[in-house]
Amino acid sequence: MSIGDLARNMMLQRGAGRVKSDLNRLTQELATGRLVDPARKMAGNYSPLAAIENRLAHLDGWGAAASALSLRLGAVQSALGAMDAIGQHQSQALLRASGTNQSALVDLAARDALDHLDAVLGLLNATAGGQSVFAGTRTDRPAVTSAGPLLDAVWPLAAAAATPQAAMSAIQDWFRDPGGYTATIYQGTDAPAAVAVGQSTLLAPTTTAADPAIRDLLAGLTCAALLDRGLFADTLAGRQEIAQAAGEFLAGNAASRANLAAKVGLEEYRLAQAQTRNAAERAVLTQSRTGLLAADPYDTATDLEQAETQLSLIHVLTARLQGLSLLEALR
Amino acid sequence: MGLTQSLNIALSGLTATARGAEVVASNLANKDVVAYGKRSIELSTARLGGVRVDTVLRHGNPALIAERRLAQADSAAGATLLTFHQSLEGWIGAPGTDGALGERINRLETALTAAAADPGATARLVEVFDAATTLAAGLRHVTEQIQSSRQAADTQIRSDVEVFNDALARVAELNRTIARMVAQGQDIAGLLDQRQALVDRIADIVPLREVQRDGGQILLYSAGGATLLDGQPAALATLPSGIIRAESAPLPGLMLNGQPVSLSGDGPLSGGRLAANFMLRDNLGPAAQAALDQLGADLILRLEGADNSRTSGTPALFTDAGASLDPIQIQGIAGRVMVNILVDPAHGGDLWRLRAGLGATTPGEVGDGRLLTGLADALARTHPPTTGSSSGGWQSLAGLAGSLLSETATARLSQERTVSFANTRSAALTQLEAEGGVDSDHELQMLLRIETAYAANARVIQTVDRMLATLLEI
Repeated sequence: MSIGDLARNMMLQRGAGRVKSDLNRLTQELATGRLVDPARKMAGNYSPLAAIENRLAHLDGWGAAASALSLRLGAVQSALGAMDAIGQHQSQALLRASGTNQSALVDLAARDALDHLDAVLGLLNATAGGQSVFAGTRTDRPAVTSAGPLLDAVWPLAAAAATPQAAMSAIQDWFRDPGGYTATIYQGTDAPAAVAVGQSTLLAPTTTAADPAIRDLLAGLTCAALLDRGLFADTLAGRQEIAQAAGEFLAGNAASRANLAAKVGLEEYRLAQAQTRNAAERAVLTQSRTGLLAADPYDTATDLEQAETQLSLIHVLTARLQGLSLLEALR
Repeated sequence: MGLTQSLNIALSGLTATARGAEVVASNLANKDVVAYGKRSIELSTARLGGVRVDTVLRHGNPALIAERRLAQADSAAGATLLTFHQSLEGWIGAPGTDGALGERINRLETALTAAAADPGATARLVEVFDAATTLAAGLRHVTEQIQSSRQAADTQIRSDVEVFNDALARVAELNRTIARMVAQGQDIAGLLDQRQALVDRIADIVPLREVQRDGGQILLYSAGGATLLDGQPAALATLPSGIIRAESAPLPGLMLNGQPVSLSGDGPLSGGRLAANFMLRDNLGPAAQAALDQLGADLILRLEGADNSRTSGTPALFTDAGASLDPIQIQGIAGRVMVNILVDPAHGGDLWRLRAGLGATTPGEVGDGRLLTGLADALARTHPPTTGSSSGGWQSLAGLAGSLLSETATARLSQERTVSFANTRSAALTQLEAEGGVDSDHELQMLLRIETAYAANARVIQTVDRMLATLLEI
């Protein structure tokens, strides 16, 4: 009975080869913390992992959309705040001026109203991230023109009116008429379509410079500003009447301005809610992904230890068997 | 009778030990040669009292060798297929790895959703364009890889056919030489080693069985029953297949002695590396391509459906080499997917078409992200299969890519198990065969015995010589 030398060599080589490939895999898994072949653990079914990765990609996209939207809503909200302050201030100034018999005070309030009209139009042209935020989808252009063209457009209507009452209502009608302010001064479009910021969560920045609350604010300021252009320049009573009506109109619209701010606030709230939901979902998904991909460090280390021992055993065995030859004994 | 006879007997002992030493030397010299059959000498007593070397035996276990050859063919075939499955899985890429097909789809979805909220920003549109270009390039890349591995299989087929024909012709030649030498009573052990090595080479290519005939000849049959060598060697041939493309028509098959021969299933030549390469070239490769084509067609169709700005018949964001998708020419579509050059600034296109649609004539409002939202929805929406998938369920584009990867990974794992079994079996049989090979300890022991026998016989001659000298001195 004899056993070929080659058989032993093959056996040792095969053993060493297998242990070395194990060693390789385990070292890599321990170093990276990820399974080298996750498909084996999942029995080839990558679909859950692919779904998680896809979902995370959606969350990335929604995150970017939410950031852009948040920037825009923030700009709208702060502009609305500033406009409301202007409206309140101007209404008080006009009412105060109309209650006295001093024409200088009325003149001053009218002058003030012109400045504020300019300021409000400037606020409506606010941009966020290079986008014009009150212009609907026409985000590359200012939402409204400057005060000059606005006053030019309404002056004939007011000048033609016989009474202060008629002038007031003509101006207000012009602002409400689709062919008036919206067609000539407003440069934007309808509000943009809603975009996705989360699973089944669609949000749109619905506020434009054509919003009724903003148009009313502009109408009030325009009436007062026209006084500065010389409307009813000859009758103090007429100017007082317009100043008072404009002041009351501005004060009366405070509620609709607040409602508008509340609407934007609600949009911001829904956006924040979606962002929170997304963050929570991301955390859960990341955790499940880790569960699918991670190599258990304890198991890996134990296996590594075992493979190491086995390899050194094979090496010892190879050396010993090499010496265990008749050839060595015959020397 | 007498002293002379003793001398003759001692001389026969010396001859026998010399042959013994020769065999030991040959065994030790060839101890690491796999196809070497260990030799030993058979001694018997000669009529006049001397020792006679009957034959030099060549050891080998034909049953073991036959089984090992079949295992070897299994192992070679399995390894070929496994390499393809592994590569394919690598080309598609595991979820979460950079450059994986699924990641490219995810990137496009992210880019579209982000761009929808900020469609006026050029950077967002560039990202969409970039992601779309990368996705199209990914589909084309996997297609190229599949086709080049089919091409490699074809090259391997050709080289295997050549090796097969050559080795078989040499086995036939050896058969004739061996028959002649047997008739002349010469030692054929060396030729048998050569022939065994040749047959081993063929056994990788086509699994075969060897049948022993008179005069040391062998017949060779394929495991599937085709005669490969019966006096005359069989000849394999293939027609040239040229450059293999995804759109290529079925490629020419194999001819055995001028007749078409089947390599699939239980065909006459099934089972070895040759059959595995045919399987890869004609079945696995095209099947993988078809699954990929389905993904490519689905991608094009989804985006065509979401872009209403174009007139029907004109391409949307993704094109079939510049044209819109033709549902009857799906084969190889994944290799032709291109991003429409109308949106490619490097080719005179305009990025705003991503926002306004491929059929739009004006950029429209920059803040209008409705089309981008529609495109993102079209990718994410679950859809019935467009060209018939294996699972048949409704899926999103990313889901379809995930299924493609899962099917590939499952096939790879199953192939890994098959190969692991075949390798273990082949290794075990090879080792069993090697156990019957040269044992250096045994040979050295024989050498010691030969040394002793030689010394003893020499001593007899010396003594007889001295006795003769004593006689002569008288």
